[in-house]
Amino acid sequence: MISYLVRRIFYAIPILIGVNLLTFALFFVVNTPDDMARIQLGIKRVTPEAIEKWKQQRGYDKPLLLNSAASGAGKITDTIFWQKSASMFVFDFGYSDDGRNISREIQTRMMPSLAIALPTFLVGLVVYVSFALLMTLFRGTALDITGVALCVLLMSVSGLFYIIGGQFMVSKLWHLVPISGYAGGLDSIKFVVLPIAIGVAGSIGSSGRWYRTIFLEEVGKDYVRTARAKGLSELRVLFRHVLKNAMIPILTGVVVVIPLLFMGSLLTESFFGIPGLGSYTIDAINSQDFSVVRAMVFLGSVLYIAGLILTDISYTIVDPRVRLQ
Amino acid sequence: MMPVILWTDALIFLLIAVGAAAAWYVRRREHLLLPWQRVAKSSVGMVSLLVLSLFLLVGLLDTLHYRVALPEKSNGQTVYSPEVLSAFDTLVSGLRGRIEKTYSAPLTAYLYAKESMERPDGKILRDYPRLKYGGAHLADPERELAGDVVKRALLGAAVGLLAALLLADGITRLYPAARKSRPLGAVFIAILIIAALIGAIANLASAYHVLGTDKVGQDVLYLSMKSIRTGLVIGTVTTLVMLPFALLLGVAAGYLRGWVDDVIQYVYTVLSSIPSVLLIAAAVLMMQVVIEMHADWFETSAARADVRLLCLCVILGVTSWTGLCRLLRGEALKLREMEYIQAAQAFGVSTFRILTRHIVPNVMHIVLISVVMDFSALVLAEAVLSYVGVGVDPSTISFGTMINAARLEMGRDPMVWWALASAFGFMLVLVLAANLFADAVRDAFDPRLNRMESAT
Amino acid sequence: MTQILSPNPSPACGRGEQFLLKVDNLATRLNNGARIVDDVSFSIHAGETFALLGESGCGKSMTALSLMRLLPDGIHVESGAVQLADVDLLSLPERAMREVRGGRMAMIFQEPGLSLNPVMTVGDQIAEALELHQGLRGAAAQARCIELLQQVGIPDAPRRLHEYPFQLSGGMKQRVMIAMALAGQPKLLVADEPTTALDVTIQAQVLQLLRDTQHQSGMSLLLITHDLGVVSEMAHQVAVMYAGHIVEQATREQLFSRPAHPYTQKLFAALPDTARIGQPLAAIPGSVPPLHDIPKGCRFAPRCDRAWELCHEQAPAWTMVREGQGVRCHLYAAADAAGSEKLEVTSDRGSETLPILMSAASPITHHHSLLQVENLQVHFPIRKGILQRVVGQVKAVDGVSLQIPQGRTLALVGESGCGKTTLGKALLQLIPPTAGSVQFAGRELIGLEAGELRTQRAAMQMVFQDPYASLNPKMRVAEILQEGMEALSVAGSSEERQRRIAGLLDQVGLARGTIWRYPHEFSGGQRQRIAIARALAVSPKLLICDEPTSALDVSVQAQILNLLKSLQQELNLSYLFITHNLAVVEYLAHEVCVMYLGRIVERGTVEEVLHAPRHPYTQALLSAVPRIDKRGVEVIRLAGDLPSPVNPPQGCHFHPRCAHAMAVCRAAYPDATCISATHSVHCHLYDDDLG
Repeated sequence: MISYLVRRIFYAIPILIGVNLLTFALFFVVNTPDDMARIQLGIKRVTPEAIEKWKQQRGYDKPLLLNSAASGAGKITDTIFWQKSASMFVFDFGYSDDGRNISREIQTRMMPSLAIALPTFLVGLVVYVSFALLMTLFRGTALDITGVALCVLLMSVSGLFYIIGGQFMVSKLWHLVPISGYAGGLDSIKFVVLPIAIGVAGSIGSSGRWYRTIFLEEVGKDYVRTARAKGLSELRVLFRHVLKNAMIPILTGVVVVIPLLFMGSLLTESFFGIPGLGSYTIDAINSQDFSVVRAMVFLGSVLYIAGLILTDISYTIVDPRVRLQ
Repeated sequence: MMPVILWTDALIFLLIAVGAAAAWYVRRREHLLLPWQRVAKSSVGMVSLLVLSLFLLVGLLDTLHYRVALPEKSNGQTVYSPEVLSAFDTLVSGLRGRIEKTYSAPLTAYLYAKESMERPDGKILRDYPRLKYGGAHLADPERELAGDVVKRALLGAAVGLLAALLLADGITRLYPAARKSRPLGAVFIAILIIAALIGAIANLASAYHVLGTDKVGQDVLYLSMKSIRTGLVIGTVTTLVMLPFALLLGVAAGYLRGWVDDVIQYVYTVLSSIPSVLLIAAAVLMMQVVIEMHADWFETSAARADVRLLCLCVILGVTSWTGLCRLLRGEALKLREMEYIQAAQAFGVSTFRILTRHIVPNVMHIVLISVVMDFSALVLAEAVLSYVGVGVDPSTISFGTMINAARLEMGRDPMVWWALASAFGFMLVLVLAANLFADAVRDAFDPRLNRMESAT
Repeated sequence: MTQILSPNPSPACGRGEQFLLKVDNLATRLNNGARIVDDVSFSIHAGETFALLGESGCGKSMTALSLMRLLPDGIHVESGAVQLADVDLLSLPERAMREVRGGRMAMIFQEPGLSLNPVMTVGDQIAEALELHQGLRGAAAQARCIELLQQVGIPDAPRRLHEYPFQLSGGMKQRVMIAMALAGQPKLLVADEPTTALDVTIQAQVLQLLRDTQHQSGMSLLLITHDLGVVSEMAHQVAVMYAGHIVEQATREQLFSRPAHPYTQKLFAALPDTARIGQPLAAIPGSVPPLHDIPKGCRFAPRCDRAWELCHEQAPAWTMVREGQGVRCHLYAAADAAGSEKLEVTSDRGSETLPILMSAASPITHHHSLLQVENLQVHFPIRKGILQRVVGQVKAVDGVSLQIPQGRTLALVGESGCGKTTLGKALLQLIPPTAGSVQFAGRELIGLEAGELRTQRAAMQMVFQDPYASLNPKMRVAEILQEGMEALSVAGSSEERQRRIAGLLDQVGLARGTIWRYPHEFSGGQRQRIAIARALAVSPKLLICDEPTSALDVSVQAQILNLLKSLQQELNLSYLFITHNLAVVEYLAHEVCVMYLGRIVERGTVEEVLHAPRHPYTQALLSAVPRIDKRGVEVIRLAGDLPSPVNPPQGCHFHPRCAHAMAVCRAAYPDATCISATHSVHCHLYDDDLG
């Protein structure tokens, strides 16, 4: 067990190196720092001096991979790759274009993101699983068919619609909660209720249908017939037997996103003006702040890999076949 | 007139050619035709296919691009207008040309904003001015508008119905067998409804802005229909780009195992470990820089927007092939243990031949199912990405750019809701039809479901 | 560990009218209309074993599920009545029915591996039934669980209670299923193919357990099976089902001595048997009709050689042949007046003799050895730990030597997991052998370059077990047959290939018109014919047949065995016949090797091994096979399961299960002892015989 996890963590290292190399290639090889400087400063009226100054301010004036001018270890460390990419392994993300420390920014913005994403995730899970269980219990009846049709309809609606429509209906027509903004502490509740509700409603179609498929697959298995042959009631079969087994495929898709909750949701946060990591990313994209985007890409992949490892751990909790072998 | 073939046009033509070749191939093979016959038996599937093919028709017409020759010549050579038009633009040139001053609500004769107007008696009056085109034929819109709209709608619907009935009659005369088929009944009803709808809208559109106009006075109906092509390109070309990689690498990893498998798994784990929106954002930002640095590569702004669209497809493809690849790898792992593969190995059949004759044909149903399922997800993704700022070129008309532009006007009072509503509405119909069709295809091709059927 | 085999004495001596279960005109149909159980009536006395016998797809499982009201979605009982003691089951509300299920009437299923909840402990699963039907909870329930587990013969029950199904072997799981069924103290146990998924030695254990349990508790048993041998060992009453109908019902004695329905007669005749080594088996032509296309009239008529016009037009009514034996056949209805006895003359074995006369196993003369295998080993590494180091080897095949002469059949017999399939694939170089030598026609195959190996491939081909997995569903028959010829450039021009394909189809008995069809249009037996034709397409000298008939029904199995036998004579083929079915061995093979945990423990001619087995394992294997003609034979019941090849027992691999194990058996693996020129055995019992 332990050795298995240790091995998984070891496997994560080459993947992170791969991610790092990929982002490095994307940001510094496809376009040279000169190109980026020109775009940032405006293509037309740009002087070589201005470019140099821009690069120097941001530390892009170094060679890419190998600094032949430096001596000793500096040959490698005094390069863009070492300073900008390799340093990400110790979560040193450097400074954004407006001169702020990205790592500190990430720390302060994590909590608001989590305040939206975690409840959305938990409430969503409960809602989707109950909805799917209900459809499974009444499988083949009009209720089930209506439910599935509703799911298809809901999943055909753009996610933007839920946000725009929800925001409009609840905040503007009914004046229930503020349209956007955020406050710390208990005050945050009135700000997060709407984003959470919209977040949950947004994927009820696809998730509900997905869980239903999983449950139906389990219901068709032989051990369920055995449970019924014992004389168990359908509800008990569903909760004691089917749900427990269905947790295994459900975990595959669910646990992996838990660490990513820290990253928040791009759309919800920027629509509702939540100062989280999602809106931070969007702002960075819109202002073409490459350092921030690069930092978020790396952070995202670290969290994803953490999610994969968490998934493995959760299997051992749910599935005795994994735990005991 | 000079025909223009943009990059995405070429890929769409290629896609059509591939589709036609596949259809010809399948037609002659009974076992391949079988699941399609099951699709054809599904009323929902056939009706959604009908709706999809209407969208497809609009998209295809919008793909035949050309540039108009300008009247003046320079040095004896014909000069072409920098504006790239399509067959669809020509077809609905009425809609395209009737540009108002700014916003106007659907089916109205007045502008959205008040203006100072000088009355004949010289007084200055602030009021809603009449539209230049919408309802311009009415003498007194306040009184006549409602009646005129109903009249035109009914007339148009009647003509549409009549045309549809004549068409249906012709078909049943040609293929009497069609009369008995059950899903055709549903399709027939759907055709009638759609024909009536098209007739009514077409008739109304000749005199009104059926879905209103946007900020610069463009007809929203026209914009919505232009968006269809962008959505279709994103949904199909992306798949075309990623498919060969996913198929080849997935199957090779699963069948060959060993270091090939390790390398391929490594590549797709790295790619899939970056949250896709971020990877797309990063790649699109970089692509923007490249395009901006090399503005001289493109002859027209349409060509530039088109290359950006294509790049977006490629980037979406690169980030989304991992899922299919993993799926195919798993299936190939299962298939390589099948006894017919071992029988082929016992004959010393070459690896390449085993891959192409045994493995690939037996994973094609997975490819097909995932392609049709991905289509709707990609159409929806385009809107989100355009909102985030990493979507299509702002000059490309798409659902995303429409929503993005209209969103800013939500705060106005009275609300400018029509652009948003029609973008969401068109997208919903397209995606719903795609989802329903995908379901019908999945039901027909999923071997597990088939087994249940054959057991009965 | 030895005992006399026969069903428990029949309880219904008085023929009292006290039926425990009475089924009347039961009809079950799919929602689309096809009747999968049609007009089925039978009744079971208390304490009696009633066997429902039939081939796959005949509706016997659906009958059982109808009684339990556990039919899958899309299937429902249409009409009929089911009476358990004095309760009408079909009209019971669902709540009351739940009390019957698992209480008065319990059921066990075919696949013990799939029928237990994988994420619940064995104890919890049994306790669930105890709580429902006995009202036991907590410590009382646990104590009863242990009692039940001990009752079904699970050693170390208190520990097993907390284990999960995956930690148990297949036989153990079926015992747990039985314990769970017994928890509600049922009056009737429905057992749906309870031993089909198990090896013969384990099957013998489970059948014995069922008999013992029945003896103790006096419950009735509804046994659903396709195996005549199991019926003969277990049943008091038998009903034979065909295409949804019960076609014959009788006591076991009546059925086995005088089967009345032509289908039943054919089933007996299709069984491979020592008595008929020289003759072809009586195969029933065709296959069971698909449910949506059930023939009008008698359902067996299209396959029946005694059918006449009436049979094709009118469904026969139920006719009593004699007291206790009824049949659904026009032969008896017509002959009722004339006396039915005459009609049964053909019921003795071998009713059907094909025109081809087959020579009996010819005496051993000097045969040129075609395949010579020396000390072949196939090991798979086991990796563990952070660095995935190799910590051990699974010795799937551990030093096997054998030879097959031209035109002869060598049978390789063993239980699942003994390495016999791996051996077959290693011979073909589909799995790279770890060590040893494989010489084909004097040429070493191991270590050949891919190109050189290809030239050798034509001579040795394989026929696989599962006819559904062995043909690519996306290729037509012609393409399937051509593949090998193209890869090995057997027939030069395409006309020559076409001619060859036509010839092959004739050889395996398929119509020439089928070459443009796809595999899904064929039945299991026809697919296996195509698979054989595919192998023959490259004119091999040796065919490795890996359980080619184990996925087929008895009647179809006989067709394939006959085909293989006649092909051998026609083409002078050699076979390596891998099987667990000893009856097939007797019919087809000349020599036999018995394999246990990767090694051959006994070898010899068919006569020697099957009639004078020396190794205790061979003896146990032979006696475990349920046979129709083995009344009162002494049976050796093997304890325990096949050990894992990862960690085989020290010394003789078989000693933990062996009744004759001695000290030396635990210490050293026995060398070969020659009993005769052709017969040798690896067992310390015969060490003294060493001359």
